[in-house]
Amino acid sequence: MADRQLHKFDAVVIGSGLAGLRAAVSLSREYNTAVVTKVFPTRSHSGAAQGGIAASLGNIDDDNWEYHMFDTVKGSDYLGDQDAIEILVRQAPDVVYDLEHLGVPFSRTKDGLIAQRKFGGHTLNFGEKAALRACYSSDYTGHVLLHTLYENSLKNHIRFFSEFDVLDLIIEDDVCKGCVAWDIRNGGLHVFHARAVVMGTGGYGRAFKITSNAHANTGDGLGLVLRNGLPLQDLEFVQFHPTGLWKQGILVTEGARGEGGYLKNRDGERFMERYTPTLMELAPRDVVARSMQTEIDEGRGIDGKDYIHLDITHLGKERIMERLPQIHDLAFNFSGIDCFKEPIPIQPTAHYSMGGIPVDNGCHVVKNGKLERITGLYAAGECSCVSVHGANRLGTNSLLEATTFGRIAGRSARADLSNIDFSDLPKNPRARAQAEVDWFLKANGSRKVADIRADLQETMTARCGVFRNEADLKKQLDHVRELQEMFKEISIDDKGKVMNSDLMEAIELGHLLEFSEVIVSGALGRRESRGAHFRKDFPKRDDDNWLKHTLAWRKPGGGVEFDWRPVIITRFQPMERKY
Amino acid sequence: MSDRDRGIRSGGAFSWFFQRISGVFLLLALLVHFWVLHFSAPDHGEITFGSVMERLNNPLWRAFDILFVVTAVYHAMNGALLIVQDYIRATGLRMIVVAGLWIGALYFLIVGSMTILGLA
Amino acid sequence: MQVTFKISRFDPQQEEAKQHYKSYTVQTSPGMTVLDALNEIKWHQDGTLSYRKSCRSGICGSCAMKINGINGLACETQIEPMKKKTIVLDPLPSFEVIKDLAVNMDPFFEHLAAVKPYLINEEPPPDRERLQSPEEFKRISDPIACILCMSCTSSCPSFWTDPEYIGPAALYKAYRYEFDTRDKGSEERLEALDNRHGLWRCHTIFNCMDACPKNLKITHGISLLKRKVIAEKY
Repeated sequence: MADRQLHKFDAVVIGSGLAGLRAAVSLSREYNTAVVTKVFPTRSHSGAAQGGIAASLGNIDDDNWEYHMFDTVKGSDYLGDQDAIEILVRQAPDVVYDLEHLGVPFSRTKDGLIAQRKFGGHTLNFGEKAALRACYSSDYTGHVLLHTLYENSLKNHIRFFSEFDVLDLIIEDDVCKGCVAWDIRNGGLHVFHARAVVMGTGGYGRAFKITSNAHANTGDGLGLVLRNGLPLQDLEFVQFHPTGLWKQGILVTEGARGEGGYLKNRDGERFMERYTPTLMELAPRDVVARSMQTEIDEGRGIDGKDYIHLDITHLGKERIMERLPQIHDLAFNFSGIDCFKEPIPIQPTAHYSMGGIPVDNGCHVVKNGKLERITGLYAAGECSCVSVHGANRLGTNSLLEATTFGRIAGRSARADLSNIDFSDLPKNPRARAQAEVDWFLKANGSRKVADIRADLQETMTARCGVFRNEADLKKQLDHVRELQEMFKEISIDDKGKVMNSDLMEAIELGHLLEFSEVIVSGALGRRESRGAHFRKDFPKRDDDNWLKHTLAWRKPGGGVEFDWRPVIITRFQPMERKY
Repeated sequence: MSDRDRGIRSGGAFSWFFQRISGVFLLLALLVHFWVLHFSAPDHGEITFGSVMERLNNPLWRAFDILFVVTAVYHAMNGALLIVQDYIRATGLRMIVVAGLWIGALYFLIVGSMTILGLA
Repeated sequence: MQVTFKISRFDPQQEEAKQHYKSYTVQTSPGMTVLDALNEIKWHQDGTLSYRKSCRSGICGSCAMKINGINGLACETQIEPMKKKTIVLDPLPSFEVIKDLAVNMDPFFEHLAAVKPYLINEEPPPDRERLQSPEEFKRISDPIACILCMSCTSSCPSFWTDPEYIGPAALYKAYRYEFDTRDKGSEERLEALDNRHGLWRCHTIFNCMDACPKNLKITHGISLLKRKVIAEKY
């Protein structure tokens, strides 16, 4: 009997966010393509991106790609690879036009062009004044991009395997031959035999307590890569978004500041004056987050508590409802705040992972600093590290990265597929995944997944957050290893096969625990402050020793092994990063 | 007829559109009908048996009345079918109700026409 | 505040599987949402409870369910302002239940696909963006905010009786493209819209708009779509 749980496709895309779908839409023009995703495509977290997608269209002001490149390089604190950044910013206008042609509904200028607004860190003429560069659709930009790409996937007849959680990659002799996924709805392991596998598995905000990320954002892709003996790059760089709703972490778009919102401390002072007088609230995210955290730490949070006010009341009801309708609803539904009349309580929230799976500029996954490839394996979007964001990402560059490098991954795979044939699967491709599932279903320890996860999230936020230091990081590294041990003593309540989210959460926690060790180790190792990584004990950037990318492998028995890779510098020499 | 139609074949663009047109027609026709029946005394300011019979023998008025009956029955029947479609899910009951509606509609058509044409 | 959650349970793997209610008590705090309560139950009381969740900020559409008889998003529903001692949670009506609060979404997305929900325009695009005025964008700015959470379609009486009816969500998506000035696909979409299981099954009942967590003007859009189709046909 034929194995009904064995599927053969030219290309399999893992993950259905912007990067995955953009790659799939590209691939499906020529090849039989499947998308395997643990949430239904339109549930992906790309849809939560609000503010915009950067491109130097110059629809309103006199913008060009070199300005965009400078801002991105400077924003990255010179850790971004400039050859990759150049690809990103030069393709940006074409990528946005391409999306418009695919049907994305953008807000418009009165001349009918794509509307653009200000965003943190984006400037004209190498830092002279704020640029109108973020193309947007009200404050639903990620949402409309995601839905339009999903709709184009329907047009192109892409096969979706929704609610299939990938548990393993099939890699032998540096060739990726497919993946193994658990059918969440019915149970059972399916094998996807493919000539090309594109990973678009997203980020891992869920390693932290206060996060803007969805429950699903557990960085599973990173875990899969580590388990297959491949490295992760620059994982110590975690972006904390300045404006998360207090206590919840839910994202309040930077567009709120782009439209003119103020940040105020307990004295009603626009404190950014003291930190970045030129750009004020529109300084890059790491700078604003640190300024806010400093205000909070020094007792100038609202009522001395751990939050700050985001005030948009002066924008007026009409402008808020036209440009920021979602913010109005979020503030009301989740904080009970009427943002027409009152300021919104906010605090920094874990938002984005600059690091990820190392890839070359064609999105091929590489296995070391010499950029040797794994044949047939690609990665794009937040799960990958090209690296265009370096040590800190500018707002609106993530949607741009996901769509640009999603398209590049699709195109690279298309080009390669003419030379790659199906290679034979190993004898029992399911073995490892099967063992994992069986272990969880049979585990009968006394510890609970939810408790270990809450512990991890709390301690990661406290000790590996906006400000870091050696003592805390050391403590946290030991603690993560302790939690890894505790994880071996868990049990789950649900032993069934149908819609077993208990099992899914256990599998996700396994990934979280493994790469959190890499995050903390990386942060501990990097004895400098750069971009989003700020060490109180080493508050200066150290280009002599640390102008390099971290590559980290997880050793089979535990522990992390490092190597480094030089940063590629082409046009802009590192200089002090001041705003 | 697909098995999901269960006795009802209306419900397309025509049914939707014509329901609105017939509605507007009925509204106007009802006003005319009401006016001629109660306030349209011709010469002496009084409605008499004679004046009513005179009108009923006029072929134009007969045509108007027939159209009135047909439209009213169509509008009622179409509306009822849409309600049945939405609220009666059991196939058996649905068949019975739809059959009843058809019988009622035919009855009103025949009796109405006979009255107008003076056959009764 | 102490609140009892009466939750519909169904596990197809049990012999003689039957839908039933199970009650859980949760200590609530201000700001707590129904999804927070579900998580509290799943993480600390009963791990076998199944429901969908993801963004918990009202944008992904995963957690739509029937909350005290009305469809809505669990993540957007604050508990304490409801001022109820007991809150009843059911899966979205008229979809097949897979387990507990999770329903089979396939029919919903098949209906969505039927209206060809994508830009149809075979003309070669210009080098830059296609032009569209702010007013033209405004006509589609409401439907593009739809999160496909299924609350509307599942609350529509026409859909309850006719599972082949494509439902308000698909119709509103059709509206989004039909009224997009860049689209030329009216003719291709007509077949899915103009039939007995399409546009004309909407009897302007307005349940969809009551249920919509994004407060979209769905019925209004469907009515404009009806007018457009009639104008094109007659």
